Amino acid sequence: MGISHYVEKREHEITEYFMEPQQILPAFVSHLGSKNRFTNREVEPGPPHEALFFVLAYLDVFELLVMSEVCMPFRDAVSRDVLPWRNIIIDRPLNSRLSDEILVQITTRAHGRLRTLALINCFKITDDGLQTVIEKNHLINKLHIPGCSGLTP
Amino acid sequence: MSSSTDSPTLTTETTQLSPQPDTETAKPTKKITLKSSDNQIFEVEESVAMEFATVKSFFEDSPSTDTVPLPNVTAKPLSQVIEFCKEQIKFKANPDEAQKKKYNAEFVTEKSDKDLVDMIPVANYLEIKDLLDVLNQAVADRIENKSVEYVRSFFGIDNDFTAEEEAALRREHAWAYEGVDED
Repeated sequence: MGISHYVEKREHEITEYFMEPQQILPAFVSHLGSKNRFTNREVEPGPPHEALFFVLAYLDVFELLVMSEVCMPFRDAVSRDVLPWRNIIIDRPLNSRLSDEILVQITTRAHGRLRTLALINCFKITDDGLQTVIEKNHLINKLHIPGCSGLTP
Repeated sequence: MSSSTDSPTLTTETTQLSPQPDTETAKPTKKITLKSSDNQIFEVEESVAMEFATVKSFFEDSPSTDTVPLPNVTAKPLSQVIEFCKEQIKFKANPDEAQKKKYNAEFVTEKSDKDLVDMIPVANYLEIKDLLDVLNQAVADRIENKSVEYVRSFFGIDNDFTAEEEAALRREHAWAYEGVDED
């Protein structure tokens, strides 16, 4: 129930900046020529299907971290791409694991272009941690921090 | 009537029989032929083909053509993409957001992982934004909360990291994996 509500919200975020991932995609279109190489994927593992690079922009923090561990092409795509990191939403299950230090590390991937930061029940986050992130990211226009009990109200 | 050889007349009659003979339906619809890389021919109504921004601009440049070769697109994903666009046109003519959402959800739910993934480059190439959005979100949903090993086997991806590189990434991301189910 909580999840579906959250997905709704995320869809909204994504349509909002939909055009931007498009601009980085021509780089991947060059993969199109080899589109049939995946036909036998059930038989033996190979390089990732080119379509999956398009999906990266639709993933949340946890899935982005997972994808960057799957293979080198994903790791490189995730690390050089600022776009997926501009809207960061931390909800369950990552909320209880998020410390100030990790928050700063994760938001640094947006290279100062963080726009949306939603920390839902991230109780380890302190004023100092949030302050650091906001100082480094002047473009934040949406901040949503319900249930972050470590912050001064 | 059985001896009639004038089939265009018959078509007109059928059109007139439709409950709402408005100008839109009475107008003979132009067909456009799309040819996939595996030489399958798809005849679609012009309105469907115009949903493909790439095809649309092709026609704007050369209006007299009636066959568009699509050398980077195979028949199966193309037929599925056409199916999706036909429905979207109905929603355009008759807007019903709830119905559209329901259709889009069903469209992806019934597709295999491979079908979804194979349609994404096609939707991108043909520049069908709505479909690309629906497909990417659907794949993203299928890997939500999954482990690295799951994603690799799910998509048949080779682990090309050295043990050291993999361990370094694991350490860097360790905080995110506390108590994650390995499914």
